[in-house]
Amino acid sequence: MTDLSVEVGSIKLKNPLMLASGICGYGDGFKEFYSPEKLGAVVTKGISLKPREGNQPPRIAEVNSGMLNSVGLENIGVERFIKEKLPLLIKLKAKVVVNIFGERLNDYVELSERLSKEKGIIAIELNLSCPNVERGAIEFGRDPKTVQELVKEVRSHCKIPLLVKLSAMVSDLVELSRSAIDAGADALTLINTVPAMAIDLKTRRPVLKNIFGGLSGPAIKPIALRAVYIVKKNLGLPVIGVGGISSYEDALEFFIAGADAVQVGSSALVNPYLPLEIIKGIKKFIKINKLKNMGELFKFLRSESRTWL
Amino acid sequence: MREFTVRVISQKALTKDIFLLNLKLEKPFKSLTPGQFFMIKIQDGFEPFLRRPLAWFSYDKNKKSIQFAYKVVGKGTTILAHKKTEEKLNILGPLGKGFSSYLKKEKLLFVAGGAGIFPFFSILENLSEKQKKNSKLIWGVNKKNDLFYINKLKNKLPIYLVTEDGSISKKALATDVVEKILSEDQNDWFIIACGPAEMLKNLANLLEKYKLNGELSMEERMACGFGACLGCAVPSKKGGYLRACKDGPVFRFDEIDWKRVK
Repeated sequence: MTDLSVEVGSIKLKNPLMLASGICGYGDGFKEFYSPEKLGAVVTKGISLKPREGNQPPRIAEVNSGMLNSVGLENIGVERFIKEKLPLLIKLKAKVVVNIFGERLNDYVELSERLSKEKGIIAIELNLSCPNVERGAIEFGRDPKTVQELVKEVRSHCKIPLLVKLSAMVSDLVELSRSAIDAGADALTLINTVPAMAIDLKTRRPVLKNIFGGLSGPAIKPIALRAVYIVKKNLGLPVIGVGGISSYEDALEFFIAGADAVQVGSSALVNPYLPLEIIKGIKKFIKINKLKNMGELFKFLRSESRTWL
Repeated sequence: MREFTVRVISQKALTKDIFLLNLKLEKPFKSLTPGQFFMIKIQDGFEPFLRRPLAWFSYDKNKKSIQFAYKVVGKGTTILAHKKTEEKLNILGPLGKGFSSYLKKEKLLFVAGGAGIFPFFSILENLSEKQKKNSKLIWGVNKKNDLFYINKLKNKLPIYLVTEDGSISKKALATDVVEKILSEDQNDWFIIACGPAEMLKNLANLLEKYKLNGELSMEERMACGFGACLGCAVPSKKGGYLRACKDGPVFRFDEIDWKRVK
C-alpha cells in the first residue's frame, strides 16, 4: 500500500487530495458516489454566522474551459451546520475543513470560536474574499494589515489549525500571505475564484443575474500555478493549491510549483470520480518512478527546481 | 444514480431543431420516472466544460436502450446533434425527482409549452383507462413546424394544439386553452405542466384562481446536476431556494414562490 500521507503545517492528511469549498455541499455532496473517507479532506461550503439565501438565479454560466458561479455564499448558518451536517460527516468518517466567511472581523472570530468547541473539524479555512462592511466593503484579503489583524484575532480565540484562502486578484499576494502566516495561520489556500463575467448575445444581457461571478476550472490553472509558485518560493511555507485541477498530472504540476496538497473543485462537478482518479494517478506515478511516499515524490518532482527557483 | 458509457445507436431529426437520440445501454435501469434527467458529457476534453442536463424521452428495458429528445439551443446541443452511430457518450444519472403525484389522480390536464412536451410521451404510455377517459392534453408551440409525433399523442387523449403564429387554427397560447377549459369546468383537475418559465408562472396564477393543484418541471442552468453546487436555484415558497436538480426538477405548483421567478 503506497503511503500518500502528507502534512500541511500541523494538519496531517492521509492523502493530498481535498474537495474544494463550494462544490461538495457541506462536505457530503459526493457521498452517493463514494465515501468522503477516501479523501484527504473535504471543505464545506462557506459558513456564516447567520443563514444566507444566496443570489438570484441564474447562478451558473459556462465559459471556455471553465465556468462562472454567483451562488452568493448560500448556506444554512453555523448553528444548523453544527447540528444537522457535522454529525453526518463525522459518521461518514470525513476529515472536515470548515470554510468560513463574515461581513466584519468579529464574525470570523465568533465563527471560529464557535467551531473550535466542536469535535471532528481538522481545520478552519478563512475565506477572505469578502467585503468588509466596516471598512468600506473592501475585501478582507486585499489589505495586509487587515489580514494580519483578522488572523491574529481568530488565532487567539481558536486552537484549530487555520488555512487562509486568498484571491489571485490582489496587488501583492506574497505580502498578504506573509501577513497571514506571521499572524498564526498554518497554511495558505491558493486560489479563490477569479472575478469574471459572461454575456449572452441572444438576450444582450449578462448571463448571471448577479452580473459578475467567480471564474473556476481549467481556465484558471495557469493563474493558480503562478500564485502557488510565488508564495512558496518567497515564503517557503505550507500551501494548498487549487484552481483548475482536472487530472493527476495537474496535481503533480501543482506539487512542482510548491503545493503541499491540492483541492479539486469545478472539474469534480463534471467528473465526480476525479478525486479518486487523481489519488490513483499519484500512486501509479510514485510506483513507476520507484518512490516510496509523498516526501520522496515532492523531492523527485522538485529536483529540477534548483536550477530555476 | 451512476456514471456510465453509452453508444449511439441512431439519431434523427423530429423537426428542424429537435432531435431524437437513441443510445445503447450496457446495463438496464431498475426504474425510471418520467421527468428525471441525465447529465450528458458532450465530448472528451474541456469544451464544452459542463455536462448538459437532458430528460429521458423513452426507455426500452428489453432492448437496453434509452432515447433522449432535445432541442438544439447552443454549443453543447449543436455538437450533440452531430453524433453518429457507434460514437460513445458518458452520462450520469438518473437524477432528480420525476412526475409522480399524477399517478393517484384521475382527471389530468397536461400542459406542454414547446419542447416541454418531451416528458409527456412516456407518461401517456402508462395512463390507466380511467385517466385516459377523463384527461386532456394541451400543447402550445410557436409555429406548426415545431410539432412532431402528433399521432402518437392523438391515440391516447383528446389533444388541443395551438400555435403562437396562428399557423394552426387561431393564435393562442397553451394557457389560453387552459383558461377556457377551466372556465367551463373547474372541478378536480390535476395539472401536469412542462415548458417555459413564463408559461408556468401564468399557469400558477390560473391554478391559484381556480384553487387547483398540479406538478411541473422546472428548468435552470446546472453545473453538477446532483445537488452539490447550489447552482440551479429555484425560489421556494418557504423562503430561500430549492435545487432544480435534487429537490426537483418536478415540483408541486405550491412549492415555488412564483413572484420571484423571472
